[in-house]
Amino acid sequence: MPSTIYQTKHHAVKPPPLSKEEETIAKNTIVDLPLCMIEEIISRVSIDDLLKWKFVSKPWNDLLSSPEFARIHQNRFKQISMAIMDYCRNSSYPTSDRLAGNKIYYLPKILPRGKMEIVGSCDGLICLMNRGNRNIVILNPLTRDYWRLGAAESCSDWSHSWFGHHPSTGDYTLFLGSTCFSYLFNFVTQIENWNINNDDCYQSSRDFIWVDQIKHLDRGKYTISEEIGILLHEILHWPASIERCDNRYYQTVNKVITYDFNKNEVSEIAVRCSGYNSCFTLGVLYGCLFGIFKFGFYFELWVMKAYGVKESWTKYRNILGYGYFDKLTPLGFCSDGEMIMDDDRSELTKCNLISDGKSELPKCILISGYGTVCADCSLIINEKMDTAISR
Amino acid sequence: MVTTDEKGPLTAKKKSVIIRSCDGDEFLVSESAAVLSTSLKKILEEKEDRLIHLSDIDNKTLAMVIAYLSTHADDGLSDDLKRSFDQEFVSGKEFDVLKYLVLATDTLQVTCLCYTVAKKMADIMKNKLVEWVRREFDIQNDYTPEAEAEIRRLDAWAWDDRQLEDD
Repeated sequence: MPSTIYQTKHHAVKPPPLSKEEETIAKNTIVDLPLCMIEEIISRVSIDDLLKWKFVSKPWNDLLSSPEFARIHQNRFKQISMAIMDYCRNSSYPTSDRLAGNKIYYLPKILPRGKMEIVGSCDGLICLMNRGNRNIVILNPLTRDYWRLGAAESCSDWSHSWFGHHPSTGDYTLFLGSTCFSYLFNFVTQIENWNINNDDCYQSSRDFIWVDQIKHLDRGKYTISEEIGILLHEILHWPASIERCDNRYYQTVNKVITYDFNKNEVSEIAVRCSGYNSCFTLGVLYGCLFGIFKFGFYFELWVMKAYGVKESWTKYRNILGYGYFDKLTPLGFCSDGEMIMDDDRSELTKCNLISDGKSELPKCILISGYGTVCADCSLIINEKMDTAISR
Repeated sequence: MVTTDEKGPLTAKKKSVIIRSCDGDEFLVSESAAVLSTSLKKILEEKEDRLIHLSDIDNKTLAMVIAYLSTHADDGLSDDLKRSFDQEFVSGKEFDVLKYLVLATDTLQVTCLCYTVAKKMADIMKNKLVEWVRREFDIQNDYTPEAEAEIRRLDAWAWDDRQLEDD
């Protein structure tokens, strides 16, 4: 019977800390949280825990495996929490003390180690390609899921690449390019629609659509110094050097090779700064393109303040303490302005661009023989994938 | 009948709403606090009813939610103070209490409280084992032992981090 006597309770505007008695709610009542609330809560939990919890129950497994959940989780964890590098080109163990204490994961043995190269990463997925037979594999190192796509047969060889969302369609897209050709591959619209038949997909190329062969203007021979492109303003960028013959003298000029998604053409941007060696790297800082150039025993970070304007390249700061490396590759930024870098493919370091200090790396994932990439963690997995094939 | 509290000039000036919990207790809430909840706001817009009955929120949970709403409706408090209130609000609360709270925020549609509570629950859940999750969420393990063993066996290759390369 509903109470008919009104008891009015007044609560002060300033909240009183609730008494112990008030806080304790009888344990014998069972609360059933709807799945959407559970989703709200556990989308704030790190991936390591989530992967354990797929054993909680079948509905939990379904929730954790759903592409929608993967996307929600991905959006909540916008931070770099994973770095992948080739640490054992020569030995089987990480040699650097700096990498000690990090988790090392081993990938399925079915992937031919040493032959696969990273061509890009996005959403925690890593796109690998075999230089020999040009087979494409996409893998999620955290969930250990991988998809073997067909071979990019039209593509003979490549010197630079990129993998990510197409800026206008949002599809997963792979760009492969060299001095004389570029290809754009579009993967079937959405990851949940990927229909990969594990038995024969290795031979077939129906899992991705060949979209475009991009026209090239003759720009002479250039050397790309960092293979994986940088996306800014819907344009991809690669650092390159071009040999020019001027009055009998050969001269190396630094350029940024670009691919514009909207215009569908390859072009170049002039670089004002030239380091002592022609090897430089690119990144994005405060919405501007920046380059890291080597000068003797230190590196300089230059920013292109107005996009596409050669004169706007401005020196931002020196990066000291890495003199013994040839090349610093920026992989990503942490929320506190620290940059994770790969030194000469041998070590990962974190450098604070404000205070010059080096600090501890976030948790790394080390995978042998694949090249270097930095990516967000992601749960993206294909529920249709049959785990049995991994054996 | 309910009479509004004549003690302060504050309550006299501001419109109030009475919210009744499922236990039958009633709470006097200023309208400015009540409209922070999207569902209460809708009810108030639809009818001029000053008495809202919530059939699925108990006394203690409702008291907590109202304390939260009142604080956030107080224009005299700075955002920083409100943030530290949020911190204090969820700290030290048991997981069970939070479960009721998060459910109430869903019913009342108080998004910011929902996020605060969900974050706190996620923090508590960190590094917890499957068994703990099942117990706290009262979930029956619907895997047969064979099915679970099979999944674990299939997964084992991936999770054994001691597996060294033998090539």
